[in-house]
Amino acid sequence: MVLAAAKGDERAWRKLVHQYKRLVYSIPRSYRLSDETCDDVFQTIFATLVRELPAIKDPGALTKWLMTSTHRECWKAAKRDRTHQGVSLEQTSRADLSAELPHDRAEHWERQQMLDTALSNLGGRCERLLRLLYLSAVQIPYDQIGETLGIAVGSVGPTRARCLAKLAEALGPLDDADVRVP
Amino acid sequence: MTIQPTTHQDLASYALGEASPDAAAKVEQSLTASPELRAGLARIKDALGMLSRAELHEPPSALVQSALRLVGPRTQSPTWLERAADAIAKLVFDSVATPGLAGFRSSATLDARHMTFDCEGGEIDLEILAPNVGSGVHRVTGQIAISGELLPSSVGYVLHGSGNARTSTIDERGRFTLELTGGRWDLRFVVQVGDQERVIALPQLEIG
Repeated sequence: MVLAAAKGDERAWRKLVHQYKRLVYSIPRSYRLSDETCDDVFQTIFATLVRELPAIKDPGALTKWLMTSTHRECWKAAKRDRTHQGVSLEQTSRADLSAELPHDRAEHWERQQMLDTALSNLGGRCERLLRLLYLSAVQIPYDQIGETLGIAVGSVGPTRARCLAKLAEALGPLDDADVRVP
Repeated sequence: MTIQPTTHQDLASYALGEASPDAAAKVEQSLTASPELRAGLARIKDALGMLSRAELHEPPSALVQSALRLVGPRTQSPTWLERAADAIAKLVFDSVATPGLAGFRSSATLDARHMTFDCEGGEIDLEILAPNVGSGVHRVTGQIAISGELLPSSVGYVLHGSGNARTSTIDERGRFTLELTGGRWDLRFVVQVGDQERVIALPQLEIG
């Protein structure tokens, strides 16, 4: 997909954008940058990616490139905001934003991308249900979820269990203990 | 009575706390006897933990569309800068090269340079003024006069190699004004022919 997109294949590019759009948008959101700045970061990263794709020899390195570049762009945007507002970065809610992406944040975003890809691979009702239940900005009541998905309210619970089992299978075994729920 | 084996959906219901007391007891009994089921439950708990800590936001649709448009067929016509010129105007007079000519075109002084280009059965006149002291910016005024069915609409200009293109409008009498710094400039005139556009390029202009 990466190699095809680098050669200008429109379908491969579409797939690539949809696969990574949430990662690229979520990183600036996590630093509570303004909506406008989040949009700017998103556009800058994908515009840069179009130019840089041919130089990314290892398709497996794309997630890392996106995480690092997006973080770096957030840092630059926060610095610009600081200059405009005349306040130091430490005085803002973005004090945790450093020039380099810290190792633990890199791991965090790598797992977010893994989860996003697994959800996308599930597709259909399972993907929609799990995104509605766990990724919505606000909590959505079961009856509304049932209505959106066209299933009875009483089926939402069992469907959630079935979809969670499928997601676990799609994710495969995780070897890092820090993601386990006690 | 046949006892149904514990499925991964049963494990997920159990992990979610949604299993009935009887179903939960059955799962716990199965877990004691099966390392595979214990591994399955651990994977389900891992997945549930990742979902609970998910920090994935959906970007606005318009934003995604703008990224998708970066590759693939263009939906908009190319800009004047991206198009090959339909015609190249030919320099027919330059006051710097021929300072001795008579008439208006002989009024070349150190403060102004006059140039005329032939194109499309008409001509383009330019007057390039010396910059004000300290500004480094040359004021360029001009007029494009071409055959009646061609309607000049704008002039695009870019400092050669900079990629920083700008556009200026042309009034109904074909007049335009530009402010150019020293350097080599590419100028292109966009003219309307009915509902079509033609691009007329000038030979590269060296200023300063």
